[in-house]
Amino acid sequence: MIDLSLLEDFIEGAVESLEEMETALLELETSPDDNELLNTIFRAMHTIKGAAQFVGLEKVSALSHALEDLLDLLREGKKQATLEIIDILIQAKDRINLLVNDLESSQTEKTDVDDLIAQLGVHLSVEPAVDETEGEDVSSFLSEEDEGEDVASFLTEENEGEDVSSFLSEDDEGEDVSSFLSEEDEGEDVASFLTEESEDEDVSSLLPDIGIEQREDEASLSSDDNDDFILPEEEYDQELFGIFILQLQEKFSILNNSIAKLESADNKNELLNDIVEALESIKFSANYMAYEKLTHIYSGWIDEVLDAQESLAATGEVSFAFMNEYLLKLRSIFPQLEGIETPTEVIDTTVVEDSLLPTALIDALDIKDEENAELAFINDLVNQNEKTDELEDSDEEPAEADDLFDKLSSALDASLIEQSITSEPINEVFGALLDSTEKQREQVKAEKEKDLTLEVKTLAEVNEEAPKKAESSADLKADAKVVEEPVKPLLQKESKVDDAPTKSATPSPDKVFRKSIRVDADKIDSLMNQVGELIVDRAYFFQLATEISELQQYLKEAGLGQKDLKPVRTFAYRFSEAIISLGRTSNELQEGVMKVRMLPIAQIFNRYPRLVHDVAHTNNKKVRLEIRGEETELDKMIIEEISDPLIHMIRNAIGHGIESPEERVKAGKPETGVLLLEAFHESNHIVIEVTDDGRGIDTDRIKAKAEAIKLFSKEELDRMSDADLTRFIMMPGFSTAKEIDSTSGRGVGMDVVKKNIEKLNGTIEVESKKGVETKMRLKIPLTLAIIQALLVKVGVDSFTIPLANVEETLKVSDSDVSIMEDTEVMYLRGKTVPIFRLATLFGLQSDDKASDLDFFVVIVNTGTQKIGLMVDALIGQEEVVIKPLADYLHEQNCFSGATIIGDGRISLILDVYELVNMTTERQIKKHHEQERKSLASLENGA
Amino acid sequence: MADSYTTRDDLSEKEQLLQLVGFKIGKEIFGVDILMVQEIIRSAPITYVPNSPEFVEGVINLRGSIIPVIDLRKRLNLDTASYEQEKDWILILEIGGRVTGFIVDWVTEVIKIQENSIDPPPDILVAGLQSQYIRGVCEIENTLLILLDFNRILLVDEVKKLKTVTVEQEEANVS
Repeated sequence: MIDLSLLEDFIEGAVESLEEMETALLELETSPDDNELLNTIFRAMHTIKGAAQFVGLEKVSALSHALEDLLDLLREGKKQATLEIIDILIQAKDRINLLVNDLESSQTEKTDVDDLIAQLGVHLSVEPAVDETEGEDVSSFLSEEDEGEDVASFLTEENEGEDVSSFLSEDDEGEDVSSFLSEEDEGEDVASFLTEESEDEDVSSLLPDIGIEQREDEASLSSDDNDDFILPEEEYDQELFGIFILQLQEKFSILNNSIAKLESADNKNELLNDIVEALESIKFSANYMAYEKLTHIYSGWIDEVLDAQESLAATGEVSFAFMNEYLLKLRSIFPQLEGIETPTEVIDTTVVEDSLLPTALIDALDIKDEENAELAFINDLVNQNEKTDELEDSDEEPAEADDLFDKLSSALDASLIEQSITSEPINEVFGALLDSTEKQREQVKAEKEKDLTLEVKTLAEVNEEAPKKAESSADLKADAKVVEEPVKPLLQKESKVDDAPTKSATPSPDKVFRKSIRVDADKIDSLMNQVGELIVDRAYFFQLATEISELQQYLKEAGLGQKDLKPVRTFAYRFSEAIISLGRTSNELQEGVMKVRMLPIAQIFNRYPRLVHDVAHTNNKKVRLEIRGEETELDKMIIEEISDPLIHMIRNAIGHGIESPEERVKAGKPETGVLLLEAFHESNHIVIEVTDDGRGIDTDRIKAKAEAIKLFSKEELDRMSDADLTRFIMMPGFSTAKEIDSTSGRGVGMDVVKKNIEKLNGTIEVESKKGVETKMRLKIPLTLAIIQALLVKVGVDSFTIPLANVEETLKVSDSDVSIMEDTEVMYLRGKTVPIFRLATLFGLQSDDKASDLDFFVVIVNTGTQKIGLMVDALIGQEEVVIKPLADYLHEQNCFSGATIIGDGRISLILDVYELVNMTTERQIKKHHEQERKSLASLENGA
Repeated sequence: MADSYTTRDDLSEKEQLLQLVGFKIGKEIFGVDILMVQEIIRSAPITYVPNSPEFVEGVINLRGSIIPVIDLRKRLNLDTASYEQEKDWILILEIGGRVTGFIVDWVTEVIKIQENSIDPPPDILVAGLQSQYIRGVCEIENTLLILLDFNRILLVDEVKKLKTVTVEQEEANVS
């Protein structure tokens, strides 16, 4: 019964919620009393549960429901979030993750959840620690007043005609508000009443029961079959019940229509099929709700319909009288279904209830108000907020501000009360509240009195909607105003007040990327390609502009007079103007499209707390993860590509870098190691640093290992700097770990990391201070498709060098170059840099004119090495679009791609890393040959 | 290529007419299924790619796409003695989703043949050509038309390329 069309949405949503949940769970470990975190987790769980039920996923919803129960206990402070409980929560989260993976791969829920539900059950059964008198009061109040039925039917009927999802989302919003409220209090106030009203099992189970039992009496009168029909006396989830009823209403109306048509219709068989389908669907949900009797009735009904269908096929005549019997029976069980046939009645009752219920609730609230310090506290905050503003801009109109805030706080109070019935108005009020708070602050600063009064007016309108309710809280404010507090806490509280409503009205800032449209990545890629073409075209136009000025020159030399040249000159001028404008627009377009692909790196950073937690756990280390700059944005494709390398680096840092707690204490460091993950922009690059305060890289061990595997001779190694030695860790198969364990030691790691990063035209650097820290620094271009590049000329061909790799360009004369070990080198600020002639490397004919005396050298840097490339000429810097080369041209070649330059010709893009590898390989080869030769000559001599 | 035959089989089982683009290298006539031919161009500026396999002439810019160009004569190790000057016909073929240009001496005409007139490649060498690159042969007007298996031509060049690479590496390792 899984709805496949919805499954995809469910999976996407669930993955997001699970990620969010995981982050919060890991934070919860360090601060188990943080209510806001619990709320976040609860929200995530709730979203998953709602969606799972909607889609029809039994296991996910069962597990998430159990989790929700446990979280509810935690949230209400009836249980402490111990490590044990958090562990179970994490386990359950993983289990849901598994289920989601199951669904993704096979559309079925394979993983078993019963053991976890049982485990959760153990924790649930523990007696609540806090007395629940308030909740009971409320429920008894409700039952005494006999409002229960009204509430239940009001809740469901109000949503009639809307679909389930909107019901859910409304409910979610309401819950957000109530959780905001519960954050401010300790459990014995209006807020807790509100929370309990929507959350507490006593109340929610009470509501449907009243509705059903009342009708049951009537039902038993009208139909004998119903004598034994009693809905199971278990705890109902009000929301679940709402969904159930909604679905039932929908299907019931289908049934009603079909059955009405049945007698007269020609296509009886089709109608019967519809009926069976609708019945199957409600049977499933009844089964899910564990209404056994109801399920039984449905099955009987379905059987009869099927029988009827058969006899219809056989004889062509059949009676459908039984249908109406069933309909009647169903309607008697569920009074909510009355609305379908008699809509006018519903409107009436809704109106009555609408006016009746709030008053009742307000009465209840008023009683509490007198002793209610918590509501006052909210007013307090609002007033403090106002005072802070006054302090900030003490010379501005305090009177207006005061006035406005009075209205604001009364609006807030009013909305609190309204919220208990329906969540719709609260959002409006909160929205208005937020807007006006924001606006008001700006306006006070800007001294715009006019707008301010306008604002007050709109707020007054809001108030008019609930004048009665506003009154009830008026006296509370008076008390609140007496409170005087220092500036600093005021500011803090102000921000708290600001934060809380923000969360209820809009998603909190760290979830910004979720306010997104899902677009097929291919669409964006093709858009990006188009922009690439545009960039090429733009370059072509620039080329034309130069040609026009050349033409102008030519005409001048050909003897054209100033007068004749004038139109040409004017045209050239206007042409260049047009090109500049085109350039600007295309630049903006390019940036815009690139931004579309940009995502905050938080997307992958958020996965790492879990990784750190797990790796540290298996290695028996204590590690604290610090994340900075997670809002830094970069190309989505790059985000995906760097995820694995980063995982590797983090594992390395914990596995190799950070010492065990004992070692750390011995070394005089705090027991818990710190792993810092930091991202920031640096011109056209993003820099990601992974820093650990561990033991650092032991260059002596690297030396020993390098010598042992005969990579270099001892003398050579002794000459090398620490930086050079550190670079060895990125060589394939190089590991200094003594043993291979689950985390590391195979010597594949850093080599792979380096390869992956280089594929992205990025660089990796390692800095290490022995015993203090190791810092791995990744520098990656923001996007892959378009790069800044330097165009150079060799012979007739032009080549493109990514500007990211270009350190500097030099004009060098022959005398600056000397030969060292068969390689040309030059001295650059006290260091020797090997120089390679591109023409020789590529077997091209070099342009010989001036090359022997003066030539250009481009110093390229791969992060680990620097070499100079000798070229014939520098053409200039350009933005180029990378086009892929066929794989057999790309592999084992020093070109990462090609680009089309302004005149339509192709320029190959140098893969500097491959180039450097190639040259060093050649060097090593040469080196070995020489050694062999000298050995041979020695032997010969001997 | 095989796919396109089957589709046509479905369409008209009786006729099984195959349309080929005929081209010449030296004196030999070759044919390639017309459905594989994206276009035929003349004289495009070819950019040489250093360190590429010998038969790769370079890359061309075909309306914004960069396409490798293979000299079919060199690729098939055909007699270079009968090399004629004008090698400016480039057949642009789509092979397994990849677009590649092939330089041929000249493109002749569209040839229609019956599917069942195609014979399997003979065991002996045809025109100095290894039979693995031949899909079949067909006699038209007393000359032999060779149907090339371009899938194979591209596939094997990868194998060959890989081979040279590994040999190079081994050499490097040995030394």
